[in-house]
Amino acid sequence: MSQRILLQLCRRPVTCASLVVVALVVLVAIFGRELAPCDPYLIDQSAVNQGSSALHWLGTDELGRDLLSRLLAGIRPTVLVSLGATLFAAVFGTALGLAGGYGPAPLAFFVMRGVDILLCFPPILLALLAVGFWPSGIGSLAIVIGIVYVPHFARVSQSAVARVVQQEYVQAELAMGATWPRVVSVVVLPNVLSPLVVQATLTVAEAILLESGLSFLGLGIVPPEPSWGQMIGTAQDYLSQHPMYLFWPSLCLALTVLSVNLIGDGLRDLLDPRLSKS
Amino acid sequence: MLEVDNLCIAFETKQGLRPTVKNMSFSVRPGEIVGLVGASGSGKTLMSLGIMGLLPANAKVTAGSVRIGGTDLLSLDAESLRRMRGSRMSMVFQDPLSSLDPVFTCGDQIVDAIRLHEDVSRAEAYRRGVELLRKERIADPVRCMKSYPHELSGGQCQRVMIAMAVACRPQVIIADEPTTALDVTVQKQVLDILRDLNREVGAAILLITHDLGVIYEVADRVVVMYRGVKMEEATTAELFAAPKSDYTRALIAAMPSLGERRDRLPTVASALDTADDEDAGSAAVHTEARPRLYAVPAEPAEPEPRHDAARRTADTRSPLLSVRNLRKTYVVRDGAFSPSRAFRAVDDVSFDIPFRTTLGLVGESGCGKSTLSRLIMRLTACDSGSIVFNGQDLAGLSGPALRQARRDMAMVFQDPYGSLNPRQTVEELIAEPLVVNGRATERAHVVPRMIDCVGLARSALGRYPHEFSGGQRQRIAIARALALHPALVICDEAVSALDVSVQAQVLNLLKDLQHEFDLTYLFISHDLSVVEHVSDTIAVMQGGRIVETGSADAIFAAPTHDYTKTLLGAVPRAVRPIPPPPFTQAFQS
Amino acid sequence: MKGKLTSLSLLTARKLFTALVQLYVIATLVFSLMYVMPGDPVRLLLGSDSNPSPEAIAAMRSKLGLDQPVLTQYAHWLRDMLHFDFGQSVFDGYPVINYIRSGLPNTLELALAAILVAIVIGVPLGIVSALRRGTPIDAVSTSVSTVGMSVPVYILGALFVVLFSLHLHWLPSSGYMDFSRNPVEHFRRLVLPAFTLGFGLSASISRMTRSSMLDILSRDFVRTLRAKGMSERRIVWRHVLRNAAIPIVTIIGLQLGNLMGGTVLVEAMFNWPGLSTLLVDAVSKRNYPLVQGGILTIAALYILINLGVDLLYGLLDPRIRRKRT
Repeated sequence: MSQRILLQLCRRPVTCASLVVVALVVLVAIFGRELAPCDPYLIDQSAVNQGSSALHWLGTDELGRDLLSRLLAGIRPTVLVSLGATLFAAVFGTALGLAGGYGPAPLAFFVMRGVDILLCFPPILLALLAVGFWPSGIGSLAIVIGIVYVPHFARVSQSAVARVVQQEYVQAELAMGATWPRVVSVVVLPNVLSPLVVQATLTVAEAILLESGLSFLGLGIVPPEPSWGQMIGTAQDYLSQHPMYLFWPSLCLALTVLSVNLIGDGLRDLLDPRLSKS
Repeated sequence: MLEVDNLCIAFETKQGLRPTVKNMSFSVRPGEIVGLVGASGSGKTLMSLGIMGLLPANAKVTAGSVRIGGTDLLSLDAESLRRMRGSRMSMVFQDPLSSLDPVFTCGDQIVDAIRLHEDVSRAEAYRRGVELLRKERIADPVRCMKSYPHELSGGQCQRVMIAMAVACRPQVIIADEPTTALDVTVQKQVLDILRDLNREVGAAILLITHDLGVIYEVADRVVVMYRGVKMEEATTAELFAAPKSDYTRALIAAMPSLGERRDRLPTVASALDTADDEDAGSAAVHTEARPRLYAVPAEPAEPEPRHDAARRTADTRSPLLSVRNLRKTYVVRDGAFSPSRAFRAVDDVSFDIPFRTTLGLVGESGCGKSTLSRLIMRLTACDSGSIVFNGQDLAGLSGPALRQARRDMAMVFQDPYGSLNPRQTVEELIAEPLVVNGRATERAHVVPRMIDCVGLARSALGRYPHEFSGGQRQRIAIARALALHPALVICDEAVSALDVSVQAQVLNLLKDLQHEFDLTYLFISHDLSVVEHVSDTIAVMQGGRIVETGSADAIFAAPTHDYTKTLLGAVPRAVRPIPPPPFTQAFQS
Repeated sequence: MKGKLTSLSLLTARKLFTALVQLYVIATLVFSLMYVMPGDPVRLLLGSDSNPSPEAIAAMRSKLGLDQPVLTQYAHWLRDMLHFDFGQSVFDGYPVINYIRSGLPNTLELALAAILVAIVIGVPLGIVSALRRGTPIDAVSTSVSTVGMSVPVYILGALFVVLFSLHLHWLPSSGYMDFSRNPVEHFRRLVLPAFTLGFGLSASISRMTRSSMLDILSRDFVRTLRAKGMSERRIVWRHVLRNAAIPIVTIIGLQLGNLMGGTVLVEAMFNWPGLSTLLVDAVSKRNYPLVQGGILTIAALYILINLGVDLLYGLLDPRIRRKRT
């Protein structure tokens, strides 16, 4: 069934293009460092803030490092953090949502109140807090951002689970004598997959934005590690001298997030009407 | 007043135009009620929308004309047509609760209906609304006007809809399945109200339904529709006395009706019951679609005695299921801070079901029959009482002992669209009881046998539920219920969501399976005629209590309790003076 | 009408109670912040001093109130909260409440301006999209809103600055002007940050408006309204919008709540001295009292906004007010 969905996604030109972009990004994330023409960390004081040239296709940054190489090298941490955070949020958020939608009433109550409280804090604030106090690094950043998005997943998952649990096929499964682990794995989870998948794509996009936002502020992924958000932050100071310094990472970041969002939209259009039809 | 002449409506699909209504012609005179009867998918709703000018974006009228009092509707521009809606022609829809705006009071909506077309003050319109509701025998019309739709019952909402429809004294009223979503007793009330109100208003009413019983009750003339084509048109008396088309005959015959019990119901095989639409893509317009008839055994002159009744009464085993003093009370709260009250869903219920028989449990919605079935299946725990099944009291069991006892029980649910897990294939669905109970190794031979027994092809095993029609899904549900060879099968409104013709097929299947597998049924339904057809004994339930029990013959011939009499009186009766055509082999077009 | 008021006030009471409980739990969580965070707060605050003297340590501990037993500290904390006393900033001793008083109005102003921009752009866009579904207008507005959602706030801000400030010289690129000193200049400096923030928000509001309206338009009761002979215009403005408003209001409230602490990036970009900036600064300097006070304020505002949305919800949707009998 997932192949069918993938095929249908490819058929629409917009989502097809988005899939291509995302595939490219993932490829570069895996092979980025090898593809880079120069060493992303190599400081060259003589070639500061230059425009495009034969040696540096996109120019250099304020420390003379090759922009293109830094762009390519900067993908991997972003991708790793956003995918890791989404995975973390999906697993724990879904589990919480299951407890909230299907678990015994007292458990459900406390779980959902806890989720409500976590939702009181805007993501960037929570992330700031955590990052400010914990050592930075891809792993801890992924976990921090993951924790930030757990309540969003839990909300979506809980409402989907609550809807499914009302259906007669859950009753039918119980009437056969199934225990609750079986009901959850065979009946509940496969039927709540669709909104969760859509939520996952949206979370990936938001995680990328959050991570780059943190890097923009100088937290998150810190220099000398390259990161798109951090490059954009630094580039703002050199806007008049070297406008392209701002342009390239902005374009890459915006395009990536846009593609992920478009895929999420396409998925939602495909998955939802089928749900309501059957 | 309403003249429909050679109307053709088609859907615009990627493959071109797909005709759905083909050359329908009929007329309705003022003050007359014409019934338009047909199965779901026959195009009747589409035609009604076409008459009102409310077709969906992908459908259009390709030919023909519609006239109301001489005015050709199809030649009017959108604005003039809009002005006619509500004032000269109005419509009543099927599901009253979802057809009313949830954020406005009923009073506001009725007032709107009036003031859209007539220049009266709000107060005057309000007064007229209250008057209309009073005529419709609503107990407290003023409170009804002030209420929101979700605070009223289905019957009350439908009365509000009817009030809106007749408020401006239209010339034509189209009622699309107005009573299908309502209880039997409420159905009768609403139909009577519609007919009585019309004596004042004098509109031409087009009543669309799939239920011949409703037609018999209120319609003056009938138009029979099958797959977009008119099969027959006659007065009600003529239609039931001497139906001219085979489809009509089959429809009438397929209706299980009171007072006539036979072993098998003749059925209409419609292409609607298969997943593929034979007409799809065919450009030729069929002027006459002849349905196929299944083989019907030659009927004896008098109704047969209960099949195998003699054999069954000789079975001296103690009852398979014996329920005693079962109680279940829920604590409900009307609002957040209002005091909680006890709601007795099941109140001291006792009955027996002998081995290899069928107990029909009949009652209207809210009487507690579904709760009762859940209690017996131990999906919910009862408060007190005993459920003795196969000699064991289920009420006290739990854990593995309960699971063991449960293997001999199974349930078939009401909603064919909601009781099958959409993410499992048919094979997985039928095998699920085996897997859950540790007998997964048997699936290789049990599942194919089950699918054969219910009359579906083996190719169905690899497909998903959404690829099947309602009747087919219910068959899959039955196959699933029988996978463990249970002794007791609880059918909770198992055929209520199906069309009359499909109902007949499923009921026949249930009967055959009862013989083949030595099953005992608890058959729950609100439809008396269905219950009478399948049951040996009957229990009538009202307000959580069993008000009357007895053999099926006794109850229908001589009911003792008042509620039973009310129920019996409310059922639209269609007496069939001729037996169904005595074909001994199937014929096809 | 009387019935409407009684059930509304019951609803309010229940929601208020829940809100107070939430606030209490958050206050406790915030209190425990200092103990949960890694690193000894005392040493972190004394900072670069590799060998702080015992007097310095003791002084810092007393300043932070760490020399008393935990439960006493908790009790004092709760008592202080009720008096809005968040303690003093570790570095200069000024009461935290003063810092919050100076930063909060600016953040509120920015947030409200941004949400206003978002509603003014997003809601009409969403309505037009829904009514003209499938046409090029719909495609264009949907793409615009998707792009608006995807472009990070700081890129958008940079774009606006480049366009309106550096090229067109219409607006100043950053900075803050006190309202009492120069109102016009104050608003001129508000425009760019508000639009930067609001543009991204308008995207999700317009999408929600569109999907909510499309959902309502496909409902049965709309068909009934058409059968009654109501004009399409009246159906949309009187009935569809009323029904569609509920999820739209919910998401506007959610956005506003998130803005309470979510203005960090924009405040940083445009040097807007708001609460978020204060908080970021406090976090990096480990100024615990200020951090605690700031978080508590933001959480309280979020809960308050949610309460307002819930009540508005109850006003709009009679099904919430009076459950089915």
